[in-house]
Amino acid sequence: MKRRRLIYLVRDVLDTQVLDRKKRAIGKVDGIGLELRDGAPPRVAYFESDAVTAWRRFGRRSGRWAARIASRWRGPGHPYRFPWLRVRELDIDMEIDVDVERTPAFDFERWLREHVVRYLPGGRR
Amino acid sequence: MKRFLGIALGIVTSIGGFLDAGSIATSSQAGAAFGYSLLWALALGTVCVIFLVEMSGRFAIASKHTITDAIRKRFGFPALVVPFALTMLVNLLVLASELGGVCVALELATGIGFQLWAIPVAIALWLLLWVATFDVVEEGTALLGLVTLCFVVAAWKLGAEPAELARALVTPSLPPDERAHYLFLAVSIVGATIAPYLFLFYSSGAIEDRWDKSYLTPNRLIAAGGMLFGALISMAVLVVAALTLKPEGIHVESYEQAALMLLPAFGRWGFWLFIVSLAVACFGAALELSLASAYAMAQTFGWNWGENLRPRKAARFSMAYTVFIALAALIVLTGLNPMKLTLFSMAITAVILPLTAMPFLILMNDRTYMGSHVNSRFSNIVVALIVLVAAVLAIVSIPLEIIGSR
Repeated sequence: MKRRRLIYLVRDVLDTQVLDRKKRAIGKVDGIGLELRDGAPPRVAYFESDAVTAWRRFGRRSGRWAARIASRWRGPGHPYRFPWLRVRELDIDMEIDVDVERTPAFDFERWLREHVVRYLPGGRR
Repeated sequence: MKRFLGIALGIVTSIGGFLDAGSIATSSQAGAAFGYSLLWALALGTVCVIFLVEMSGRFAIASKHTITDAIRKRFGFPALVVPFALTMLVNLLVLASELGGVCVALELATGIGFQLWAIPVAIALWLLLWVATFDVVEEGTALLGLVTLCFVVAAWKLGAEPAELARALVTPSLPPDERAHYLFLAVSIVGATIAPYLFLFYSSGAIEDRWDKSYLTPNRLIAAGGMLFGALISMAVLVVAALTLKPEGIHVESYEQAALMLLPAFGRWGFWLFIVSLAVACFGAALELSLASAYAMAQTFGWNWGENLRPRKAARFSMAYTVFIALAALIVLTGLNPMKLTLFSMAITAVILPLTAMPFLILMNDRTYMGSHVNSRFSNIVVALIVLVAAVLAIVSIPLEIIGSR
């Protein structure tokens, strides 16, 4: 018989490092969303990887501040939600089946690359 | 043979991280004011840092993760915000101290005021990180750091007495007067020795160099050998200060005064050796500190990181150290006495040490990360005890020092 491994959402999933399909770092699991269903138990629907979500967990005010600052580089579609069905592996890190460059999770990285790093010497290589 | 070279290199590398503005400032002041009697603080700090560095390497090997990464997962974001912010703040103060050290060395060499050097030095530091790979940074600082061996040569030439040194190393003492300042210096020495950035940097380095299980023994040798080697040089600084500055009644309050300590051993060359040692040690530490802080940011927020990646491939990581260096340069520009800034940064390091070391100790005992490589009870007790004692002493002595220095 296969041994079943029990996973605790808060202990084992929340704050885990998320990697994309090429093992590039996307961010951390900053929040987990459950879906409520009529006549059926709730189930895990998605997780969020977004600094603003993390700051909301710290406090209401810090969440508002983070959202205000982040609005500078954020495109649409935030906080970005990765469907739970995309999770491929969960160990110490979590691997998901996406290409991070195509997701809004990289908005800040892209914004810095295009607005700052590009203009510094050696920043285009 | 390759493994042997690796170990030798690792040991030499550790000096780059060990001897910095903090060690030079605290050791020279301690030696000048209290002779050999504060050597025990250096010994205590060294024992603790050997354990911590070995642990951080073992953690990286066993779990394939850095400490910061694991702390975030185990304790959660909300619990981490305050300790993280404090650590970054202290790192910033220490980075400003290191930059200040380089700037003072340049002032002593050229006569141009240290504040004017803040921006050129910051740019040089940033440019090196921006274009170089991890190995260049690590090995370059290691090789240049060897110049600091001149303190050991000086201590030997001046005829330091081994028996007396050995006794001071193992017997903690309290002088009849100036107790507050004595304790403050003891705490600063411990803070300078157990710099948290040192073991955070070490664990990220182990990941960048892809250490596997075959590195468990080399890791142990590098940790012990490297830290002892570094401690030997710090000790030599203290001894030389005790033998040359104390008899003259020179109380070291700035690097200008400390710069006199190598004159009796090397004559006019001593002055230049001190300047070069100060500049090299501080610049090396500044490199490691900037990287360590950027690693900590990236690993806390889950960004892609790595000194071997081009800035384009790790924009957030590269911008983290860029901003960090700029802020530190601003602190140097304010014109605070770099030596005073250094001493206070070291004492504050001791205060916040439990915030980084204790969660780390908990992780070292977590089998999900460590498997069979968890800590022994002995090493848990040694580190916890030293860290807590240092923090309590720091909390007591910092206010006393502030009142006393008025």
